Formats: sequence, C-alpha cells, structure tokens
Amino acid sequence: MTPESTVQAGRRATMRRFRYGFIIATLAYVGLVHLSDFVLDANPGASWRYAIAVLPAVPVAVCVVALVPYYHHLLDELQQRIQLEAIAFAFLGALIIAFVYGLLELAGLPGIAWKWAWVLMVALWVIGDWLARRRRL
Amino acid sequence: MKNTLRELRAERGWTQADLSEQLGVSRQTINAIETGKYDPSLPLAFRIAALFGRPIEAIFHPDGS
Amino acid sequence: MLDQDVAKRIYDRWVWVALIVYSGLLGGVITVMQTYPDAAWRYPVAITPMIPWVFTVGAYVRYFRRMDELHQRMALEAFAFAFAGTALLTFTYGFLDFAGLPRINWWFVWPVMGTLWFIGGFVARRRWL
Repeated sequence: MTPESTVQAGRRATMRRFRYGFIIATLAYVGLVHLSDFVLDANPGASWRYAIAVLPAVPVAVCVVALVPYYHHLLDELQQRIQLEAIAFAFLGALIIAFVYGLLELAGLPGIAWKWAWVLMVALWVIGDWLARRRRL
Repeated sequence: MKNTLRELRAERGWTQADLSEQLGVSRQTINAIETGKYDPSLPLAFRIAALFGRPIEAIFHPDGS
Repeated sequence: MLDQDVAKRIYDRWVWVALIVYSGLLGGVITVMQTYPDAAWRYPVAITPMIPWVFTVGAYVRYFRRMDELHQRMALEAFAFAFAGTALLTFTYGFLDFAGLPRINWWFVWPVMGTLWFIGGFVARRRWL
C-alpha cells in the first residue's frame, strides 16, 4: 500500500466510527427525550425529576466530547483552521449578543430561555463557516 | 515531524530567547517546535532554514523516515 | 520585546480599564432604570456599559494579529473549547428549565462563556506548551 492509501483507509475508518457514533447518539437522544417526558408526566412532583430531565443531554455531551477529536482528525490542516476560525467567530458573536441582551433585560426586555443561546451559537457557526471559507478558499 | 533545531541552536550557543527574538516568535513556540509538539508553518520553517543557512529538509524530518 | 508581548500588555491593561469603567456604568444604569422605569430612552442607556469593552475587543484583535502562529492556534482552540462548553451547558439547562427550574437571565450567559474561555486557554496551553 502506498502511504496515501493508508491515510485514506484511516480516514474512511474514522469516518465510519464518526458516523456510527453520531447515529447512536441521535437515537439515544430521541429515545431519552421521550422516556424523560413520559417519566416527568407520570411524576410531576418528584424530587429527582431534574436528574431525569437532563438525561437526553448525556448522549449529546458524550457525542461532543468523544467525537470532536474524530471530526478533527478527518479535516486537513486548512479545514481545521477554517473550522477553528468559524467557531471563534460564533463564540465571539454569541458572547457579544448575550452581553448586550443581558443589559437590555435590565431595561425591561423579557428574559429568553437559555436553550436559545445554543441555537444562536449554532446559527452563528454556520455564518462563520461561510465567512471563513470565503476568506480562505 | 522531528527536527534538529535544538542541536543547531546549541551549536551557535543561542538560547531559546535569542532564537525567538531573531525569528519574531515567542520563546514558548520555539520550545514547542524543539520538543516536536508543534510543526511550524511553511513560512516559519523557511525563516528557520534561512537563519541557519541550511535547506529545510536538513532541519525537519518526517516521523516515518 | 516581541510585538506580541507589547500587544498583550496593552490588551491586559484594557481588560482592567474596561472592568472598572463597566462596573461604574453598570451601577449608574441600574439606578437610572429604577428611577425611570418607563422612559423610552432606557434601552440605549442600558447598553452603555458595553462601550469600554469595545476598546478591549479592539485591543484583543490587535493582540491576536500580532500573536505568533502557535499562540493564534491556542487562542482559536480556547474559543472552540468555550464554544462547545457553552453550547452544551445552555442545551442542558434547556431541559432543566423544562422540568421546572427557574429561567436564568441572559445576563449570566456571558460570565459562563468568559469562564469557559479562560479554562479553554489553560487547556490549550497544557496541550501545546
């Protein structure tokens, strides 16, 4: 085998592991969302309901922590740099928006649920990815 | 990547700080390159090669060979 | 001294200046908001505490441009760490919110982000230095 094809084979194996991991995490997430919904509905006053409520976040957290290195491994050095720049853009954008909105809450704007923060971050990541690609490719 | 930066630097009697000053990068970066933790960019590798008056492949070697 | 170190010193100074001016302005804003709860101009007034931070961000951008390539890489990795951490935390809190924990103001999002950024910087330094 030439060195190139070894690298390619390694990448394919990583890609496979990445994809399986992702599918398993998604299935676990969907299953746990329904399970925790069901359990919470049946036991509205239980003291342990918070522990049940966060269960669906566990596969997502495992996915992020375990799969990010794999994902990173799949990218060449320029792609890595583009991703890092896109994420830095998203982080700073979200930081500034959260900061300004926090101040506007003082002035009386309604509070927003925290879950919108991660939606905002992912949206900014998409924009950052587009910008970084335009700059580097 | 492996490299002979530490040996070359020692030959000239330079400290990491001396080298960092001449290359315009931090001393920590010099150390990370010498210990093989960080592979320099092509422009920086060329600056290193020019400073020591040697071709790049005389300073940096791929891990495998 | 390297340009990078000079720029870092300027940036560090701006962090402290901004913290002090920000605290003062924030105190003022809270008082004004309580005194004039219905004034139409309270929204533009409320965001004035961000003004000193604009200069800090400017100083950080200059510092980033003067960083050597490894320091840039570490800075980007610190952001990525903080990004993942913040996204996970806010995602998780969404479920707790659903289960009945009180809503937390967005006020508290940016300190979380700042703390994770700090930890991310530490992790990146451990990895490369």
